[in-house]
Amino acid sequence: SILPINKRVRKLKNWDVPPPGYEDKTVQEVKALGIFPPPGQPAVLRSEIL
Amino acid sequence: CSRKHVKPNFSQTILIPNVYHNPSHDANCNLTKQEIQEDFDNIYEDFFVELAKYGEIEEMHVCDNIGDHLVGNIYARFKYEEDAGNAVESLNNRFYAGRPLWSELSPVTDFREACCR
Repeated sequence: SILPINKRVRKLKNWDVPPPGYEDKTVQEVKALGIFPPPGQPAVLRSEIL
Repeated sequence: CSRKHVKPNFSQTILIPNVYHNPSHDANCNLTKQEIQEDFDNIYEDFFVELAKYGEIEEMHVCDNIGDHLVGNIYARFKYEEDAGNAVESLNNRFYAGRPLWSELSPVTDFREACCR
């Protein structure tokens, strides 16, 4: 009577949700913009890119 | 801490930093304790179930820390190094909740002894 973990229904659906406005970009393209920098590094301002 | 951590080439443990943001750290937060706990539990579930696709997980921790260089870290120790390696590679190419994930292997094996010197 144990539900396999891959059948478990989750409350959140956050996986593979891209940032709003960047739906057509790949993860690597979004990372290269610098808006979401690696942890510990300052973000590039959105206005500097757009 | 010098923050110059040695990143291992092989490890059972992965780190995904900057994932969990405790809503109660926001000054305008008016959620109840119970709602905050539910929010945490949902994120824990969402990560555990998804990470389990990469392989058997032995232990997973979602940190409720608020340092400016360490916020909401998720650590997961897989049974096999190979699964951890595959997970890091794959997670670095995925979005979560509108952000790209950054993931790396972590040298931590015993979470109770995990302490930065």
